[in-house]
Amino acid sequence: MAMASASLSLPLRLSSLPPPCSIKVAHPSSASSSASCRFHPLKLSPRSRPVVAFAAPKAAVAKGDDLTEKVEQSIMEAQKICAGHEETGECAAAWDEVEELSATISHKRHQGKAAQQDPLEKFCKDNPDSDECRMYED
Amino acid sequence: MACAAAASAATLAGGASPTLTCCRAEANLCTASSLTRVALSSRSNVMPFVSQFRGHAVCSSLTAASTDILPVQSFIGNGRQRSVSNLVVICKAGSDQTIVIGLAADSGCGKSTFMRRLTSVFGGAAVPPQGGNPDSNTLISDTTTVICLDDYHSLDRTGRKEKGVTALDPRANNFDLMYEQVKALKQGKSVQKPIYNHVTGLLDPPELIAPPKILVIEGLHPMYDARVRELLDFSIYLDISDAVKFAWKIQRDMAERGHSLESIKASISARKPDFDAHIDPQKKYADVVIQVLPTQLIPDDNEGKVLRVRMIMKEGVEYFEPVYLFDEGSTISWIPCGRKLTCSYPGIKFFYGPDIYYDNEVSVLEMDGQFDRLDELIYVESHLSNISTRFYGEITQQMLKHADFPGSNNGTGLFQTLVGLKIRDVYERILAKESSTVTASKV
Repeated sequence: MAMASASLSLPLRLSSLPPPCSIKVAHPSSASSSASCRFHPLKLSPRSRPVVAFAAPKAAVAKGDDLTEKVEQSIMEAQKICAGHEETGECAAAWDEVEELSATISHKRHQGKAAQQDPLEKFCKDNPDSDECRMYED
Repeated sequence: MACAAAASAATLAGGASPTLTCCRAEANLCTASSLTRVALSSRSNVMPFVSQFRGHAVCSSLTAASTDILPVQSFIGNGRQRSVSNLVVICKAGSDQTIVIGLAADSGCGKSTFMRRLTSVFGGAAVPPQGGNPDSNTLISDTTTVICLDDYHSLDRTGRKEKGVTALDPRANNFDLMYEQVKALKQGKSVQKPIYNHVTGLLDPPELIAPPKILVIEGLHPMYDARVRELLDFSIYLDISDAVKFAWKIQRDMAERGHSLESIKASISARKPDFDAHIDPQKKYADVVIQVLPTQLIPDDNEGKVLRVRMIMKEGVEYFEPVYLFDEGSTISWIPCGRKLTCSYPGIKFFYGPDIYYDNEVSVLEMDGQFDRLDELIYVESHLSNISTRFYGEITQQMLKHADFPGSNNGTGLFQTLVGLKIRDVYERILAKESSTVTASKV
């Protein structure tokens, strides 16, 4: 009985629990980076349908997806424009756009990576006067 | 001079003249000058000065009095008291001299590893301007501001598509504005620089750029316009060979959806005619050309992981002494791996020698191969000369600081770091020359 009542409330609470270790998280979010996975998967009754929700940082994912879509579209457009007209300025401009977008994606990725790189750098940005962060330059 | 401008811009009430202390932290000079009665000719002379305020400018080695912000009352009008405004006069530490470095590279802006290494040599991390447009291409650190020349596009992405023009084409860039603003920054005036948003492909509203000590203009056409070329104190061209460019673009783009080998190839070859016509010719104007080529140590290598990097340094450039190996002006071929140093495959090979490059006398320093260990790096550093380091091991330290950057184990990282140190040297020499002329004129 207790089990049944527990299983009924499970779907509501499940979204706040970290996913079980066997599930691969498709979009790692900054929120879940600190949470680990559950080592003891709950036993669920067959009637309950658990929903595991990941909250990805909206802005970053949205922009990344946005750019990726733009790149795909621009590649298809460039291939269309250039079919048969490789020498024209329009063809060059279309591929130039592809190049620009690809470079932007890679740049944004490096920016994101650089920001998370060194925990000491992060600490020192907020506490430049602490002992660990003092710089000695003569 | 900053303090002289302040003196001429303000008139004092009642004849009292407080002392305005001007300090130059680098030259360790601190001169006190009294403000005398000087008529203010136009308001506009004062505003640009006030806008040059940088809160972090500090006369750190001097007394507290010299860093105070002094309120000064000024009178506008023809001698009679018309209006009184409280001006804030700030002592700007350091010289007014802004040196301008041009970097030509075909891989977009702010990039980079080159920029990050460069700004790291000068000290401090370069970050986008706080609180401004998040898609700004500008990077600002304590001493350096990096401006992306894409911001001077006259046509945005749709404009270029309509006209059938690539970003490499000079018709898509506003060289007049580029020249005006670089000149203004060099003279110590702030500018409102447009922003080219790479994400949307549009030209965004401008951002305020204050004149820094070191201004780096990075992009496709830093040396294209003759007037801009005159303003550059030092120029660098990053020349990536086709084979390496292809390998790098594959690494960069193959993981992205939509891209395939054919699309990458098509993209490179479609841009090549414009590149060869407009960008490549800038090579001959550069003081340093860094050429990245496929390695000669591994036959038929097409991965582009091991690189042969050549640093072509122009002779006779003011304030710049080329790096050399063992004996300046001679031809040296050097393999450091042997009894004292063991290297793993494919090893390291150096070359140094004089040459002629586009009708200029140059010295070429070349490195082929990879560094595997710290002691290889320090061994190589100890045998290079004219490297402008402040202490033994500075190059190694800089390379280790950014061990995660691409190119940290080969010539690209080494030569980029060397160029950074050389630029610092050029900057210090220009400053030293300027302060010696100032003291000479005082005598």
